[in-house]
Amino acid sequence: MESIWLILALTVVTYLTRCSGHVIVSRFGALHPRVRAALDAVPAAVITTIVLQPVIEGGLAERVAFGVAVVVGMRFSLTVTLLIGLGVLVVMRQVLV
Amino acid sequence: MPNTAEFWRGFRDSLPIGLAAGTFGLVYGAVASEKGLSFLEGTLLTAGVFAGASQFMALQFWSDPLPFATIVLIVLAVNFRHVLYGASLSRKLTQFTPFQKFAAFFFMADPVFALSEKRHEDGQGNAADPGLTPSYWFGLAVALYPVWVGASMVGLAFGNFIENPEAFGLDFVLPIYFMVLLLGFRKRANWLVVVLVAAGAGFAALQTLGSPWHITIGSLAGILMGAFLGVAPDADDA
Repeated sequence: MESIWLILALTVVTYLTRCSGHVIVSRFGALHPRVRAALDAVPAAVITTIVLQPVIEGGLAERVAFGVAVVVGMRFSLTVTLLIGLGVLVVMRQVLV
Repeated sequence: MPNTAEFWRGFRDSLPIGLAAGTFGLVYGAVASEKGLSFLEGTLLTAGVFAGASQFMALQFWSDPLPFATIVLIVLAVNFRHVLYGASLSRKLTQFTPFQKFAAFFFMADPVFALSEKRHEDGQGNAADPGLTPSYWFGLAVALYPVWVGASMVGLAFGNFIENPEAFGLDFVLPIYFMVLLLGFRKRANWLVVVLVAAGAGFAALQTLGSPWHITIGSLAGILMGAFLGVAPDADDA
């Protein structure tokens, strides 16, 4: 039951992020440049910290697969990167066992 | 009044993205069932939130007992970019009634934002071009939303049949997925500095205070660095 409340809360929070930009601009005019710069940095900062733990705590196979995926991801799409990254991981795990 | 041509134009514009998103919907469903979400829970989450990255993020932290506040804060942080989207689109929704605006915002996923911005731009300086209309916007949504939710449900229904997710590397889908999202922002001002500062502060917090403090502290350090380095290049008047 708690999970349903959590899902409801996530739905509401997400919807609020989607309409608040419009509400703020139509109420108060443009955002301050520093606030914009801070907001601009939010996704990169948050996602970096999320990726950190599994990579640091992963073994050799995880780190190599991640490194390969970073290089592939610079040039290719999400799907290609994911397939190659997971492919390397699966092979490495077989070899290292 | 509805503009059928613009509706189908929107539908066509987002259909390829919808199909690509469908494969991630499948992965979402499979990972969700692996994390122990029921079919109902997984479906409600995908239908209510409709924002892939934040859904994956919620799954990453889904455990027993549920870290309620942590998941809400992380989803808020990941979806904060929507505030910028809304601010940027705000003055371009002149053809929307208030009701249409607030219905439209529910569907403002990344591709909906990007394609709407483009549609507005393409309509500039041409009196015969209707520009960004509600018909176009909901055309985008109709090609995306049902595919995303439907694919998630298929993944939820069949994810249980994958007996050994590690053998397919499914446990490492999320880190790679997030890393690619992260790379997607690399053209932004000060991106590398923000990433390095967040990683450094996060690493230090992980070694000393432990999880999940590295997320709060690392993120905060990165965001403050972004604000400190300042002014993001601004494409429009938002």
